[in-house]
Amino acid sequence: MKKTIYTLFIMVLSVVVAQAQSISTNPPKFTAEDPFTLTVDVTGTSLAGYTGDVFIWSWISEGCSADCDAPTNVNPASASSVPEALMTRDGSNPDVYHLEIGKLTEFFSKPPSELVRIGLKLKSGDWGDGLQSDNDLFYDVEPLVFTPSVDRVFPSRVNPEDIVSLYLDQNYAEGDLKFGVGDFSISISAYDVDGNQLGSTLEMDADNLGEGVHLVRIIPTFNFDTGGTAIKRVAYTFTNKTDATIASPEFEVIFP
Amino acid sequence: MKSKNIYKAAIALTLVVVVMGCRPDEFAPIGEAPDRLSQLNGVWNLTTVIQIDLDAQSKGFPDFAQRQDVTGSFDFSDFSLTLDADGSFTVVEGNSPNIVGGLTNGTWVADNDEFPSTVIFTEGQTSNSLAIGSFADVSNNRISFTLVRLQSEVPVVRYEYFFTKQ
Repeated sequence: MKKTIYTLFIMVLSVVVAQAQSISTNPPKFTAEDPFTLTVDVTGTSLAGYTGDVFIWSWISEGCSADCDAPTNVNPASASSVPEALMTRDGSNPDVYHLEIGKLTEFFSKPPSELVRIGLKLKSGDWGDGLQSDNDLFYDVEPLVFTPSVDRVFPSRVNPEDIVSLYLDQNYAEGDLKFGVGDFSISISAYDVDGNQLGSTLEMDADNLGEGVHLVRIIPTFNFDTGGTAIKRVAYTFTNKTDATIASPEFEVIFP
Repeated sequence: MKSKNIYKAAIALTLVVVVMGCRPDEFAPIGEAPDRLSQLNGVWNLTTVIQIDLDAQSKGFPDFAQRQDVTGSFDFSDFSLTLDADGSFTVVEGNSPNIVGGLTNGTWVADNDEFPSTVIFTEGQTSNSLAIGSFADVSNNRISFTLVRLQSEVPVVRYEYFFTKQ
């Protein structure tokens, strides 16, 4: 009985933690030389409710050869010593913080080749305060050179009003998807910022461009009946028309 | 002595010919400046839509990752735009996406009557604009407009719309 209660407690705690602290970037994808805005929600962490200055503590978690900490990782930190690391508190939610980063290459003083995946935490001015965003957070950096992928999207930065080209490139797929023969269809759904589906799921045949490349084009605001609600993301799956067991994972496009 | 006089005469004659030949060329009149607003009037049918990834373009990605002809993916050939001399416009969409931000009829003006570079469409309280891509082919009843989309005030996508006058 005690074991059951303990297990249930851990499960509930995990859900609470999972709902706490989140990270997002605008735009959703960026390279080491693109400006972007980082947003972190520290709800549920020891930083929740904190009213003092909050700083980012960041490092290169993948791609780095040596000296992988950001130069702004100093302790104690202050607004005058590391202004580049000072987070801006959100005007409507004091547990949400923003940071505008001009270029990761400048922020880390590293070349693009070493900036593959970035890890970060938020902290008060001094580690000794014991106030931080608890769990490590991560975001990926897009490569500067063109890199084909199984789920390429054109253009790379899109709004819901844009023509969005969704590709399936079997040459970069894994498992059965790589070797599926023939045509594919696509199933696409649109969602608002709260995760609610907008309109109906769209079922279309993909254009078979040959050599394992398949294409579907949509204009989210044109193809989905949203009733005026903003589309935050579309999620889609390619399925082989000859063998329905051969299907892609669910891919998604997130809009700013 | 005789040869010397002939030589002098030849020099003099040459000088006379050169001086008499130095007259400014006469150029044909340039003519009246084209009335660009009048050239915009008419019924324009959308024939080609090109989409350009400006981010990919700036990074020198392969051509297929920079630019795509998306005309055939939607019923853009259904789309026509009428620009009347009285300042009114009408859009016929058919099954095409509306490239004027959803506007279908109202008024149009150019940013500059003599050298227009942008056409502003207004319907009720809503205004949208298209930049004029080029007048170069207008004498052949062809014109292009462009639309640039931004993210965080950074241009990320450009559309090029090519029209033919009906």
